[in-house]
Amino acid sequence: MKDFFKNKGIKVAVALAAVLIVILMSTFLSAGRSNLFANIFRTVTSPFESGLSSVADYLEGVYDYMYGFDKLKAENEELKAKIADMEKAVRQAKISNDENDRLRELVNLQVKRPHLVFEDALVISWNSSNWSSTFVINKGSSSGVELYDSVITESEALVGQIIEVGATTSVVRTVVDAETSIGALIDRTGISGVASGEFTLMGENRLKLSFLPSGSDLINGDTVLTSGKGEVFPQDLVIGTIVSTQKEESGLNWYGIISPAAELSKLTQVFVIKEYKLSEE
Amino acid sequence: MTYTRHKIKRVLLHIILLLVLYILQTSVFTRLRLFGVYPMLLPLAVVGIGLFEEGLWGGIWGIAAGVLCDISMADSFLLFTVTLTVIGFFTGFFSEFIIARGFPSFFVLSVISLILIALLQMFKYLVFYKVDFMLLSKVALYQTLYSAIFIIPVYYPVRRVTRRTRA
Repeated sequence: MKDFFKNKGIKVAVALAAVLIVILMSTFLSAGRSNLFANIFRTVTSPFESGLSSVADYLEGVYDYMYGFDKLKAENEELKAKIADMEKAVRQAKISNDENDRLRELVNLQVKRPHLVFEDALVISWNSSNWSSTFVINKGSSSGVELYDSVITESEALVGQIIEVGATTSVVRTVVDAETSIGALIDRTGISGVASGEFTLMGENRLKLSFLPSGSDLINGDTVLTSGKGEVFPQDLVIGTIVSTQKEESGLNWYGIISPAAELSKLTQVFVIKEYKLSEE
Repeated sequence: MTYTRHKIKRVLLHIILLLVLYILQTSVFTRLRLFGVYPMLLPLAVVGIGLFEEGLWGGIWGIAAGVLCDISMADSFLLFTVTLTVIGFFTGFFSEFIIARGFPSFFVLSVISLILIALLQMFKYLVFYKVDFMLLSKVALYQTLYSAIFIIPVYYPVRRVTRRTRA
């Protein structure tokens, strides 16, 4: 190596100087354009650079996709959770709204009937017997419900009477059940009688008004109320309306068929009368 | 150990069967009246269990089904508990010694049981409320016919449960 430079030192130096001069001249002469060497270098390397760039772009795309997918997935999960929360809030709002309506009805009822103490309850099931008409409500002795308490609707229509009390549920016998018997009076005339369920009428959702004094004035459309006699049911609850009048078997007296004021087949909410005064003063 | 597990499985399957029929009877078919009546499913299950098990087990499951029926019907104070116990016991007893364990026996015993139950339900109204016999008979007939529709749908699950547990 030393010999090479000793022997040909001047020639090498001249060649390097020439190359430098060419480079410098090329650079000065190009004036804003790529110089010769840069052109050559870039021409040679550009396919590789292009290939590498494509690979890099592809990998970047894959990374972006992966990262973006994860991000979208996370965002999707987050949105789903938000929707679930909102749906829950809507459901809760509906429940609260329903409860609000029920409490408003209870307040209205309480205002109209200050001498009665109510407990609102929901119908949870109807019994499956073909021989009686009863249903179960979601309130029992823990809510102060007692045996033989009266049960009404928000419009003060008599539904029936509690015949069985559990801790959290009670059984209500409806007004059309064959074992029901209620002291009644006709609102228009004030004449008293007994409204009672009959097996023959139970299937038609009707009950009978009988034991009316002979010669009683009874017409279709008459409203029948509780008389309060017998101290079982409070006074002036609406039992129903007379839909037909017929003669007793003896042929001496008339009796009426009552259509209950409470729509028994559509009951969802009822009110149990826990306390009442025997007559309004 | 296997025997105990087998017994537990058998009890659990019978409990599930009775509960499913109870839910159907009290929550589903109370919305599906036919001729103004509801069907009765639990007595059919008791007949089936009694038929494929022995008398004692028929009686035991009869008590369980009877209690469920009495719970679901406020007017039937212990009527079903007593009746279904008797039906379960005698069905099991007959199937051990007299009758074959198959669908014809199940059908006949189910119909007899349904008629017996309807007659017992009629009794109170006939004697204490003097309700017209023909009217009561009509309700009893409709109840028996509507319930009888479920003899086949109840037979196969009951047979499957009892056969699986007897195997």
